[in-house]
Amino acid sequence: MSERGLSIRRLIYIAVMTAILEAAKISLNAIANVELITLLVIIFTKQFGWRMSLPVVILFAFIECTYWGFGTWSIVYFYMWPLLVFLAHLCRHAESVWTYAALSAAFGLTFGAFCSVLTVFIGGFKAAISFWIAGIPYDLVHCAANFIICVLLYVPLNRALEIMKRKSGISFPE
Amino acid sequence: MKDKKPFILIACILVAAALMFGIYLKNKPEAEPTTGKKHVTVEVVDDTGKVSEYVTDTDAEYLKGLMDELMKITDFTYEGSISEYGLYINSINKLEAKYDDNGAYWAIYVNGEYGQYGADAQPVNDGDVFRFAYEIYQE
Repeated sequence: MSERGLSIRRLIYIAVMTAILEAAKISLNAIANVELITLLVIIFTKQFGWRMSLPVVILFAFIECTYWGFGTWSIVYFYMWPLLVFLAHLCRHAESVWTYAALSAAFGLTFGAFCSVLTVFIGGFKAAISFWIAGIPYDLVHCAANFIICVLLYVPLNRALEIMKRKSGISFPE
Repeated sequence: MKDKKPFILIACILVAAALMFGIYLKNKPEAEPTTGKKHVTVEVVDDTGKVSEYVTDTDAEYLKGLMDELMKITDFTYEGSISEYGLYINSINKLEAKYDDNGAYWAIYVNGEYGQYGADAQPVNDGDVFRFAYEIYQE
């Protein structure tokens, strides 16, 4: 198959992965801080590499902004999810589900802290600390939910994507 | 030998979570309102910096209730809309904050600190000083 054909197939993969993220987001919107995005981004990065995953999370952030409207949280999405892609890329050779569960949990636990970084520029350091402390219960829920979801779903999802990738015949650079 | 790194990391996360929970318990905002009569002050700072002060005794448990009371007994007025995040204040004393036009909004300060709740979730306690300030968000 020509390089152009491969590129088109890669674009289709990016579109499908973005759609999966969006569907996963909407499906659990009703439950605050319980989400599948973290796990999916980790698995996408492991299986398809950061070059494929980075445009996926940026597109996802754009769609979320279009759907919910642009706000300060939009900026958070544009650096939090790429950060997760970067961290998942660093862990890509790990085989143990516990490594990814730890990454998921740590990401959930620190999500509020990373969000409050933005508040430093808007309302100052004290406002950022207040914002972070007020959100700690949500961070704890996010952490626990991410950990449990990863332990339960990482192995089957990762296996499914591995099979799909093998059958596609396309190689994805790390 | 089985890799112990993930389990060390998970233990660190548990310790961090416990520490964060402790920080929250020690510093969590006073969310419970006081019942009964309270002596409070409400200040309104308009776009020119002029301050209007309202001192009153109230039974209101939340700031919105106090604002409704002030509307009845003083020249204080406000208009707001309910969003998924609670009451969003559009105007106070007929001064409208148009965020979409110039980034203007009504900020709430409680005893000198930037408020952590909307007016309908902000508890009222004896001696509180609430300040509504017309502010413009600047990037």
